[in-house]
Amino acid sequence: MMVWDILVTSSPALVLAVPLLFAFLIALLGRFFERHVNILFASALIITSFFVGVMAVEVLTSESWMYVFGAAAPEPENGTSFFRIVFLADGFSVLATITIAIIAVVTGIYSFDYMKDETVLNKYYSLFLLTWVGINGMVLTNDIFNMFVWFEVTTMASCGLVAFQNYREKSIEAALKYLLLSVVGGLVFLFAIGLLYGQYGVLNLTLLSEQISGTFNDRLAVGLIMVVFAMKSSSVPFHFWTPDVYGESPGPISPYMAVTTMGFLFAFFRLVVGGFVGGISPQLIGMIVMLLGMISMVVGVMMAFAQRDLRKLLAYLSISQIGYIMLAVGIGIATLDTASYDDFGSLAMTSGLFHMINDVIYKSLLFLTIVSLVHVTGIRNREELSGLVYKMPYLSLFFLIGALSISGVPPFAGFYSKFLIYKSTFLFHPLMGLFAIVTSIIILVIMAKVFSQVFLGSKEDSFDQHVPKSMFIGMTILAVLVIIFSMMPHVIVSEIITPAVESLTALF
Amino acid sequence: MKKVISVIVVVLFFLILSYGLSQMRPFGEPESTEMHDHFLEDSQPHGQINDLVTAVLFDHIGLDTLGGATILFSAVSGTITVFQKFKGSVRKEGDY
Repeated sequence: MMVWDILVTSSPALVLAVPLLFAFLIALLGRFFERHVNILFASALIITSFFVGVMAVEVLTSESWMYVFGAAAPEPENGTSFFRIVFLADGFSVLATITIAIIAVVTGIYSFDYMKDETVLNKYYSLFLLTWVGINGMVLTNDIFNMFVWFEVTTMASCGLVAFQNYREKSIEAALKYLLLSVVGGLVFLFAIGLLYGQYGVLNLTLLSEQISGTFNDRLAVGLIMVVFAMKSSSVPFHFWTPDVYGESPGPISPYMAVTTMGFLFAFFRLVVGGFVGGISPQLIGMIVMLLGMISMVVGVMMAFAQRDLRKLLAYLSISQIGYIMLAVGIGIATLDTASYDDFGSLAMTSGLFHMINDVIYKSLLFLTIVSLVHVTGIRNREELSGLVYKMPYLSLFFLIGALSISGVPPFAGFYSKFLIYKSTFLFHPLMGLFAIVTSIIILVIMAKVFSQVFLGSKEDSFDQHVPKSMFIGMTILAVLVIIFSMMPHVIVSEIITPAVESLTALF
Repeated sequence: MKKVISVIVVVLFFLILSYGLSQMRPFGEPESTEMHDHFLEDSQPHGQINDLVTAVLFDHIGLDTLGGATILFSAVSGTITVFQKFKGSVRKEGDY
């Protein structure tokens, strides 16, 4: 019982420690046991998601807690534990870690068959787990310098993943683009942290939120951090790396990069709402986030409309979904501390966070179906494909589920979060709500066009392959999850999303 | 034209950052010295080590140190992966 209690209290650290240990092990042993790397990787997936589950159950059923790193016993009574690195195990980190774990497990399973023709797979699995370590650290930590460290881990490892198929020039190009942008972004982030640390002498986000006051340097630092995180979460003026990275990386890495982006967005909200908003005006920051969201929403859809390349089309659609999330959460931030927060601000915040987990699941399903389709047929251009429903009925069913969900058609999961977004946006400003609805209709048009073009139409017999088993299992898991989310959205909202919103806005 | 714009943007960015730097408080004198005092006074009894640098590096910010090592590890892994001469994938050709 004793050991179990220790495991439960240290689960936030174990969520990082387990994949880190396995990443080192796989890189080390993979050379000698090339056949057994898969087993090591699968056990890393299982054990890590087990600890994610342990943390989630503990937080959601009893209470949230802080995990303090350090050799000596922490002393919370005189507040010195705030000077150590602190991990927060609260509703928000639970939502983030669950979102990441779902996609990591599914893309991990999907990778077994997709990547089986490649060599040096131990490096692939190692980098995969390192990326997971980085995102988990970023969403759990409450210390801004520590967040920078995990930011860099995620960046480095995910660049390695994007460039993994090094015989493809396009993926090398995409990885270089992403790497350059991210490293410059990381330096700017570090500069902003330096400004804040020089001013206040603390790194803990909670302590910082009590002291930050809105001087020129504070505004500069917060502005720089917002630009960096908007870039990493592929919001529109900084979105130009997204189609390359999502479109040219190895198949399972597309949804994995999408969830990495979502991890940066989680960290962004933690930084802004949990740290900076109080000292600087919530209205200003909320307006900026909202504006970024509006532009991403519209531009993403417009760019998707013209795309012929299926994977790039999905990349642009995912930019527009990021726009929806930022729009909703921006409204939530802008109304913080005012009377209208109770009217529709908390609803906007809830809908934004609900859309994050919802969107990442059906978007990954779409990415995986398109990747399987491209893997089997070898064609990426949607105009060259037709009549796939006769050859691959299950794949077209999965695509249909994802497509109806992303365009917000009523019985499917995407409808519920999008409906809440329309409602809260409409209450904030009717024109904005109208914009969100029209954008969603355009997404429906695009998805209908793609479906009729690729899956319906005349039958073609130019290929004769089947989707391998593990890829099929990965997609099935996601499709089942979408259906579960569609059937019980109220349960998800009340059990997972509401605690996340409450812990995110705990300072207000 | 494009080059001129980018030069102007870089110079503007540099000027704003320099102005921010000039607005910083004197080095080592932040508004609250609690964290500094804590490091100086409590590192020895908490970390049970006499060398303060070691105590801070491996106790207070030990996770950052580990993270720094992980950054190096992932950068090296990524570089090795990219520069690896592949024995070859079955599907080398085509735009998939």
